[in-house]
Amino acid sequence: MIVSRPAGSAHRGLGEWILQRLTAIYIAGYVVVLALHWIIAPVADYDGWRQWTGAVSVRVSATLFFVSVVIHAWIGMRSVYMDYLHTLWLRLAVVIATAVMLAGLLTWALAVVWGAGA
Amino acid sequence: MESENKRPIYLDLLKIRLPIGGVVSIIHRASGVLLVALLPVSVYLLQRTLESQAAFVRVLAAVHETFARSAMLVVLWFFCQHLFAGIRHLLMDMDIGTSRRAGRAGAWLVFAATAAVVLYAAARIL
Repeated sequence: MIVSRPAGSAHRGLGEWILQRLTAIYIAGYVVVLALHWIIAPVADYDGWRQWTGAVSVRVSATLFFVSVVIHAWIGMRSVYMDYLHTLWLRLAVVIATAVMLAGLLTWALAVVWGAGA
Repeated sequence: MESENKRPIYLDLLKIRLPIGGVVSIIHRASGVLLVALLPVSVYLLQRTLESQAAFVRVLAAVHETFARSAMLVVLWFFCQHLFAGIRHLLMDMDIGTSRRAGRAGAWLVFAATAAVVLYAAARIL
């Protein structure tokens, strides 16, 4: 298949490549730090849980986490689709469905992170 | 010309002996897709725990069930497999472990590290 590409498009993959790695590093670091935190200081009760999740530092780091996860998932899923889905309309439909799902998920996650009170 | 061409003209997945690095690679993809599919579950659980005292207690009681704990171990397995294969990826980006021998050793290490974490967690929570 011959694909004509606009000038400069060769650099587009590089941005995704870097973004996939930056988000990976943040996600990995965040999850490891969270796991260690919960092992050292387990969640005691509902009030403690609300207080901890209400802290601005926790909310900001969780926001960065969910943004990273959604970007990482988007790039990852797209490259899987590009490798295995060769029927154009099907690939397009699945890509759009994934984009909608991930956008919805991010909105929902951020509403949970920033919504509930404190 | 045609008789000299010994290339297989089909890809029979059962006849391809995937090298260990290839196995890690395909599991990296599969575990990534599964983790994405599980994202809504984690957001839902987070939402429930913040909803009310009663919901918080219900979620905590639910994750104490043996079934839920076993499911969590499976998810942990996906996650660790993806994490360690990802770390191997990042190291290879920096030209660490790119030789054939190191690549194979690294692939085995991914499985070993994953097994270690999952077994440790299993011993702790089951």
